[in-house]
Amino acid sequence: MTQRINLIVVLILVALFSLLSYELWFSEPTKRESSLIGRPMPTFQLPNLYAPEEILTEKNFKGDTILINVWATWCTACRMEHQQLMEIKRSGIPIYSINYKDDPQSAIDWLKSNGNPYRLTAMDRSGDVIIDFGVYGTPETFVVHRGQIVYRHIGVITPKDWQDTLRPLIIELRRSS
Amino acid sequence: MSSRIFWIIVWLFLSCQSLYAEGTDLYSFDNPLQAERFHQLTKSFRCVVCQNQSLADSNAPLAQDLREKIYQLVGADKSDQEIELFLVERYGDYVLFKPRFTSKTIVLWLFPLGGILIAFWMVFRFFIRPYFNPSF
Repeated sequence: MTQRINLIVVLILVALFSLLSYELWFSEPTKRESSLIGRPMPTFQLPNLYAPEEILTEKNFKGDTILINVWATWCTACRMEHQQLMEIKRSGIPIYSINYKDDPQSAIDWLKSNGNPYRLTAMDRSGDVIIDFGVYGTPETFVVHRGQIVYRHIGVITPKDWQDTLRPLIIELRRSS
Repeated sequence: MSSRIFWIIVWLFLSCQSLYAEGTDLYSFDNPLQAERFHQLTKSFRCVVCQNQSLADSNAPLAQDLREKIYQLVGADKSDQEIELFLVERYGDYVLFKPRFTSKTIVLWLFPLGGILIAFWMVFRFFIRPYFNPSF
């Protein structure tokens, strides 16, 4: 009887310790699946960066499989990502963007001197639309397939992220459709 | 002379008070009930970019935006449930400090109850029963 009790106690302890060590070393609290996955892209009405009188909506973000990148010139991590975005543009995948809480002129200057990877850039100066996308911060990138959000990448897209995760995902989406 | 100093001190205290009030009332509401709801709501949601801070406590830009959003929703007379749904749809269950009772969270909610029952059983089994039945 006592032996069985001992065994149960040991098992409970082992379970607790494995849970704790998992949380301590392997869990990634910053990686959260967006609750928008599998749902249609949120609707929005935002001015075009290059023509503020023109209002862009989600319908302007055309393409079968597209990326939507959220960025700002004040966001240093976005600078690190820029070359990778240019690279993605060269591979032929359309990237659209939402410029977040930024000064339009500095955004234009920035794209002029570093290259513009985006087909269209919508300006969200108040940050309202960003909330509808459930964005945590810049940079953040959504993979949208036929108007539906398929994947969300938080933070800089490193060459490794692109090669290992995003590129295969987009190839798969294109093949299945 | 001393009474003048006294009044200066009183005046200083009063001016501190008014400064303090200005610092906290960044949002103005139509009625005190809305203000109360706003404070309760911002306390009940997690700032998703900072670990273990509520929207009310955090100075993160996203938390400021979300406070602004909640302020607008409270002003538009949305119910607490509607505001909760608004945030959960966008940021997931993680935004809630008090998880909802769903099939996913049932273990979380019932585990403490189970723990208490096991504790009672153990107390009974190892302390109370042997006391009445020493031969065991």
